[in-house]
Amino acid sequence: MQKLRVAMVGNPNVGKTAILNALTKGNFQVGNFPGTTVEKKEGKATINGVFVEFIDLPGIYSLKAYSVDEEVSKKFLFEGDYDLILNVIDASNLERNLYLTLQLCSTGSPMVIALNMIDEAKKRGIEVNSKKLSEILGVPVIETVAVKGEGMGKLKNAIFNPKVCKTSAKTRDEAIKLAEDISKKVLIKKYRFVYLDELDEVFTDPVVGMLIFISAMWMLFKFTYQVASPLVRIIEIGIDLAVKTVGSENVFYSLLSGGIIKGVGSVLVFVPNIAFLFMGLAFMELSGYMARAVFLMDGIMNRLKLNGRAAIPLIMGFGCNVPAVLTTRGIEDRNVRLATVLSIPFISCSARLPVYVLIAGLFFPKNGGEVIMVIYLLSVVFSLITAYLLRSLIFKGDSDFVMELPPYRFPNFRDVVLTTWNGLKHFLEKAGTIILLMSVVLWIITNYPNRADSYAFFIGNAIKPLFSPMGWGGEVSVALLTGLIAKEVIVETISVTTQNLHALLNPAQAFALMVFILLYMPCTATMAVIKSETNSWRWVVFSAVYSFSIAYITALAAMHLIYLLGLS
Amino acid sequence: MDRKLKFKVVCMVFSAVFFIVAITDLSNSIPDSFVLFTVSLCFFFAIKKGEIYAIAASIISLVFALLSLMSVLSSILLLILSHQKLHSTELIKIFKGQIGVIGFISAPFLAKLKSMRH
Repeated sequence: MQKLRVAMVGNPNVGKTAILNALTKGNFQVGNFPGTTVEKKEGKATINGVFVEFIDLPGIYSLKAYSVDEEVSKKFLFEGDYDLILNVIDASNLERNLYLTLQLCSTGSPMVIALNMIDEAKKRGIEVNSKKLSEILGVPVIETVAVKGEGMGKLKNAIFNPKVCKTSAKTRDEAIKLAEDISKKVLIKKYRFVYLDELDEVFTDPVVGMLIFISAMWMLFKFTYQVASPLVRIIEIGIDLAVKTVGSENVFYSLLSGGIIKGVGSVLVFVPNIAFLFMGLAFMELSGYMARAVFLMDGIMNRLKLNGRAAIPLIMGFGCNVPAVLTTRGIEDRNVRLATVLSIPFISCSARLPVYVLIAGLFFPKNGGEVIMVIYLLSVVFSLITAYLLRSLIFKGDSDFVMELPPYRFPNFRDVVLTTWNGLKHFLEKAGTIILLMSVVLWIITNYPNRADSYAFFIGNAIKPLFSPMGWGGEVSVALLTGLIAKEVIVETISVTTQNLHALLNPAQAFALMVFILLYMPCTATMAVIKSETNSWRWVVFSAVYSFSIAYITALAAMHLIYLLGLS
Repeated sequence: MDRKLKFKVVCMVFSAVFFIVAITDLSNSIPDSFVLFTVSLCFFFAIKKGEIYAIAASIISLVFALLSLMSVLSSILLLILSHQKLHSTELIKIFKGQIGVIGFISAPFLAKLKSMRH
């Protein structure tokens, strides 16, 4: 079978991944945020009997690379391991997009242009004469609306007839001038009021915008914690029923019910909370609001010696710290990048949420949402303080950033589901692998040599003195130890080793435990990705020791503060 | 009445209503009150700075109202799952906590504002 390799190139947030999904019927995650794609993605499809490989490259503004993700695109384009370039252009921003197109033309590679988001351009009163554009450049130009699948048939045919450009620019100035000239020839602009665009005045206002941002974050937690609660209860009932049905007649049934079902179930029970969190984050991102939040944060970030670009991975960290660390590749400044990488572990990832939901539900049933909100605020505070300290003491230097605000869009249902699923998938994969394995290990160490004098009891007693100032016993100590593998395992361990957590802790100790779990040491996956991104074990060790020390001091202080205020 | 004046009066009324609701709800949930206070402030700014603030306020209150409604349904579902009887007093208690449902009245207002611009 014939093979064709297509390099998909374009500015950030022009819909390259959406086109990839439409062409390959793929499920790659899309966003309404510059820098959603930080690594190249490959999608495959058989079109007209030809096996076509599409390589979706991270967005670039020019062939000059400033950040790690842009370097990925540039390297790929110069290595030339492709048959043609599929240049994706945002029809609403033609002139700026053409600047890259003209540089791509200078590579001499055959090319096809997808003039994407033509519907949004029309809404804004922008019309592009695609025929004329095709005549000027000498390459096929296809109008598309990737999210609706419009123009995909024509695009599929066009990739078999790519052409080498008639026009190209050798220098930067030449490209800017030529892009301007071509735009004038092919664009018809009529002023049209788009009320959503005007919302930026409110959402990016330093005072009102910040109040709206805090309100939005609270609504996200309300959605995650309160709205998901009946689904959590339904799964709980199902798991209790399964444990009772299986019983514990012999060792095998006991392992199955008391170890595997109870252990894995204790983590699975929080799937609705995590799904709702990802859904809320997806809604905020795809609607374009998240980019405004980043813009709003830029002022604060500057005072903390970071820049707005660092806010993107920090916000992503609420989902999972691992992809958040990878997203720092979009940060051009190396010092800002390293400071951001080392601050991310303090951002409370979704894996920590089950622990908060469990503890808040048990100890603060009336104000669970508020307590969790405080934990999340602490998470942001510690992350930003860490970044500031690192930028002031170790990774010094000035930095600035330019960010394009994407248009507001009503999120596409499929994209929300896809983004939620991509986040949840990682959690479920862990439940089926590492958490399942840990269930068996935990069952063994809590039942052997005998339940009253088990290995877990021995380990717990050995490390208990370390946590005695907080009043945490052996069971909690073992949970904290196992939590180093993955944070979800903490809930699992508590569920297997403890019958009644309420009897072991008072509310002050429970709150201190939540604070400690928030701040202490990144999980193994995050540590691995810190190693790969910083290319040094030194920063992994630093991250572990620093976060443990901060967690210990803060948890102790939080507990004593609660005692002092008489809130316990 | 002049159209602009009508708009200002409506915004003032909305701002006052949301402010009162925010104060009333303060003992129930501080973050919920915070959201309602933000909405009230947006309506207040709309009087001076223009209708885009009123549109923003309507969007926030609408999202909050939807969320509150979902919260109410969740609470009822939780009661059913816990095999507890649904007493009217409990329901009133739940609804009192979810007073943000009032935001639904903003929806027609939002539609009206949009039509005003065209």
